[in-house]
Amino acid sequence: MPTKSRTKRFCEWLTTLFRSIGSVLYPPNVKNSFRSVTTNWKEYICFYLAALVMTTGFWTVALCTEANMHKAKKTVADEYDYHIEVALLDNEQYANLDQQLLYQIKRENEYIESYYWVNNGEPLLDGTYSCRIVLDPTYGLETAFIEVRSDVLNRVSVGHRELRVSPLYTFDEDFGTPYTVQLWVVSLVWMAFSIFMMLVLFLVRLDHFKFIYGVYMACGADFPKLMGAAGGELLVITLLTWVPSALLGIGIAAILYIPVGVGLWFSVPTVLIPLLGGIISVFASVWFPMRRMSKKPPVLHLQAGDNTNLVSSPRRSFYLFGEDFPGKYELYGFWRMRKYYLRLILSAILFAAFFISGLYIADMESYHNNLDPYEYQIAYRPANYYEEVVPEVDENGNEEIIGDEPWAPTFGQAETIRYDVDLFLKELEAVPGVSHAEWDVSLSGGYALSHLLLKPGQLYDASDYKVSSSERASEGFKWAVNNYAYTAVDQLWIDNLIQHDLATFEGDPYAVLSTENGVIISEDVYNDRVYKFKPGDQIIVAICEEGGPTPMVMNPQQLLREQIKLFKFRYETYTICAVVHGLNSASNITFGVGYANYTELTERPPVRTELKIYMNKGTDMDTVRAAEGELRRVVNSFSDWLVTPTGNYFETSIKSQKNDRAVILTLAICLLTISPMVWYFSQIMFYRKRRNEFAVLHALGAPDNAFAKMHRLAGGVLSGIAFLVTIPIALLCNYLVYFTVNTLLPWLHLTESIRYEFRLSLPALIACVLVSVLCGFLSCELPYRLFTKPDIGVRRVD
Amino acid sequence: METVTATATHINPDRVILEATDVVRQYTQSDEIITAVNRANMKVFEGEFIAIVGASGSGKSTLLHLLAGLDRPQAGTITVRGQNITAMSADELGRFRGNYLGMVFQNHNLIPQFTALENILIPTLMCNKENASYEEMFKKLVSSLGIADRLHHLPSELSGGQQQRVAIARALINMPHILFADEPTGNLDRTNADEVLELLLETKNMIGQTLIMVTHDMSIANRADRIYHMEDGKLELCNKRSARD
Repeated sequence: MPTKSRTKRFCEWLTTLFRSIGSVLYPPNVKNSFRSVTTNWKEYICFYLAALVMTTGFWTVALCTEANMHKAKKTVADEYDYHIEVALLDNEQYANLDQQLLYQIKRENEYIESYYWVNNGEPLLDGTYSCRIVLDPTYGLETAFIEVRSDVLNRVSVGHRELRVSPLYTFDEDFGTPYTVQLWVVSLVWMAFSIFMMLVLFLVRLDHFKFIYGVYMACGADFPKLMGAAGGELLVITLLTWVPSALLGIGIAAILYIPVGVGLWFSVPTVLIPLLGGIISVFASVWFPMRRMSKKPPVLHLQAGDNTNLVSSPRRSFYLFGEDFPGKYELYGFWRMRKYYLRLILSAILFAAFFISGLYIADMESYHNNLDPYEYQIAYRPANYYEEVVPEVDENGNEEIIGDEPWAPTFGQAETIRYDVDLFLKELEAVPGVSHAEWDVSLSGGYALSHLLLKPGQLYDASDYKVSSSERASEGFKWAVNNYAYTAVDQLWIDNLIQHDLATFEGDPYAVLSTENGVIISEDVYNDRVYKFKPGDQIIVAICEEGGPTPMVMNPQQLLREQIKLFKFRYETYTICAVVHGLNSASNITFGVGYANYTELTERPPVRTELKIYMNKGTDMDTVRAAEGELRRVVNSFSDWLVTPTGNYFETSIKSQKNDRAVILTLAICLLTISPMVWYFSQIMFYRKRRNEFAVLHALGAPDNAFAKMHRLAGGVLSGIAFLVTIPIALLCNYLVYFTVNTLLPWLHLTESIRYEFRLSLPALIACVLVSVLCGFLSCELPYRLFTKPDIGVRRVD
Repeated sequence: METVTATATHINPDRVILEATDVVRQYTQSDEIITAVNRANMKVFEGEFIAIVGASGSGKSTLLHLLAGLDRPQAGTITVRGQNITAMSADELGRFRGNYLGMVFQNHNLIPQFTALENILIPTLMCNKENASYEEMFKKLVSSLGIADRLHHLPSELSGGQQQRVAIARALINMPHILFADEPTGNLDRTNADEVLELLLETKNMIGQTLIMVTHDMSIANRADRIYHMEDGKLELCNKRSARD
């Protein structure tokens, strides 16, 4: 048979898609579906509940994100009443600018609304003046900003000054866009879960109604018709639950936000997302099973009138002579239908595990939102910095350094810097609101053209980094790696990590200061363990003595191979004094050495040219802002030091106000409610088809109580298995979350590298195990009370 | 979409409407391969009544399912109205079945939760033909099958004979060009069996249909134009009433 071209296949697929959509939305079909799902509502109760959960989830996500954004906007507007600030002005600049602004205001410049001087026009602590300007947003803030800069600021006399934009100006960029992205990303993630939950339930239904679809197919139904039949019903159910779920979603959002003074907002996406999300989820969850089914011959589906399609081993008979009834009989049945039971248990328990993982993600989100990033950067910027590093300045006045070559001061400057920092560090940390200062003096091993030689036992999972080496292989150092960074270590660095609980040490970290060729080393790359070191281990550092050109486009492993082949190295043996755990890790491990070793290895002076200033948790914004003046006052006594605010503290305070944790918890609870639905829906369908079997057994003399025993035995076995399976599945799901957030996303550069602990909430696990065990048992007991017991009664009366 | 307008006047008795060539269908059970249909060949002319007889388990029903496009052969081709149905995609075959083929199953295969009326009307949902043609056919079928007073009953509330009539009505409502019937009288007493057969033949003549029937009942088979015999999956023509073969 000639194969079809891709284009033709794609066109056919598109035609099928449109015919399927047309078939689902075909008015008579919608009418039939409506009649079917309303008159037989008991048959579809599970889908009603699932659709309610699904659409409520969409509503909650949409409404809460919208509320978060409005809350953030309100907070920003409360804290910042200006768009741009012109700071560090001297007397002359102050007078000049004041005159210019007055003139602009008088001529009713359409880009400036108002302005005011900080400290009522009095000089600040550092003797400078700051002016705050409120832009007129009529023509867009960006246009107003450009106009003000060219019309006003460029006319002010030259000299050092700083132009800053406030969070009010950058709101759309800093908060608006991320919130919109978050809304769509979370909605898509929820859609994936919704598709999965509807798919699981629909597969249960399909398993038990294959016969009907087989009849449809025998009567001429193609795939779009089958889609119309099944998709139409679920679509009507989704539409019918849209209003109740809207009420539920609004209720949840109101409970979460109104107590903290945030109203609910309805934008077009807020209303469209639940509607479209529900429809797309339903369509996708029906599409895949129906497509698979439509490709099979109808005769196969016609044979599935009872549970025979669920039997896994129909050709292996059990010799039932004298076996225990109903115990063994039911257990044999259990084995015969093992694939059905396995699928039931796994799919039901997965939703319970999703709940636990949801709690874990909520904890991570909470931890992330409460992390304190540094608020000010204090950097050494002498004249030769600007000669060597050419920063590009964007329209907001932010500097961005192009290229990856790290700047280093001269050895002469290093002395001055060290002296300066030693003098002002304590004073900086004493500024009200300041928690501590952090610094990092490091250079990557790859940049220094050097590498480490390791023994096989020192590698944990380093296959992506290691390169075989024959340099010192005879001594056991068979592997070379270069994903490490030399870090200059002193007592303060170690004290800082210990005092602020930023890391823990295995071994004595202070020994690195007194041991010749001692090193403090870490093991993790992107928060994932890659190496296996212990104090006392030896490592060889290969230091480049004679380099040369290497091809530009290479991965790090190829590059290292080429370097080993072409360059000349000398080797120094280092002893591990301590292994550091818990540091946030990116692409390199830390190779911490004393100042002398650092200079020898990198040929650079070990000085702190950049300090990151952290604020105390809970500091109010006024104190944070006031700290800037204090910090400037401290460093102004020393030449070439600059204080730059990052705005991180305010951004974090807004993030921590978000109720993301509660939203994630709500979604997790929604997912947990699907677990009982899967249990009951599947088992009710299953036992309903077993009624003929029970009638035969009854006719053959089975006593009434045997049926109760059969159901309870099955319930007991299911509970037992559920108990055993819930724990490993929950662990696995949590580990996948942990790995994704901790390692995979930073590795893909989608998030910053933040270290999270692996955790499994014990109360949540207990709750899930209880739900699974109870549902496992009741999913057998309930059908007994619904079908089997009344049937036995009827038969006895007859 | 082509509409079904076949009537007795349109029959061309020299036109081959169905042709099966070297059709093979095997099943695997554990390690054993069972050949249910073994290189079966068959040629059916328009308007013919074909009977397939054979012992239980000889592969008659499997062959009928293959000819009706309800199952796929492992080898061989089946051509219906000049179109190779074995090469059709699942969707094409589905639509083809709806338009041209009808099937009466041995065990009726009525949907238990649907009433008799709903069961009969299922094919009309699957094929978008004009309602008028259905309504006319529906009235004829209901009156001739004698099930007018049972239309709103569930299958479980009908007798075996009545269920079979409903299944026949469902197979005929679309006015298929070929009707496949798998022992349609197997579960019926003699009187009911004769009535059902008469009805099938009457409809066949009325709409110029081709009828292919699997049966155990030789008195029914003897009324066919030709009889095929099936044994261990092999199909043989054992009676020629017309001189076509």
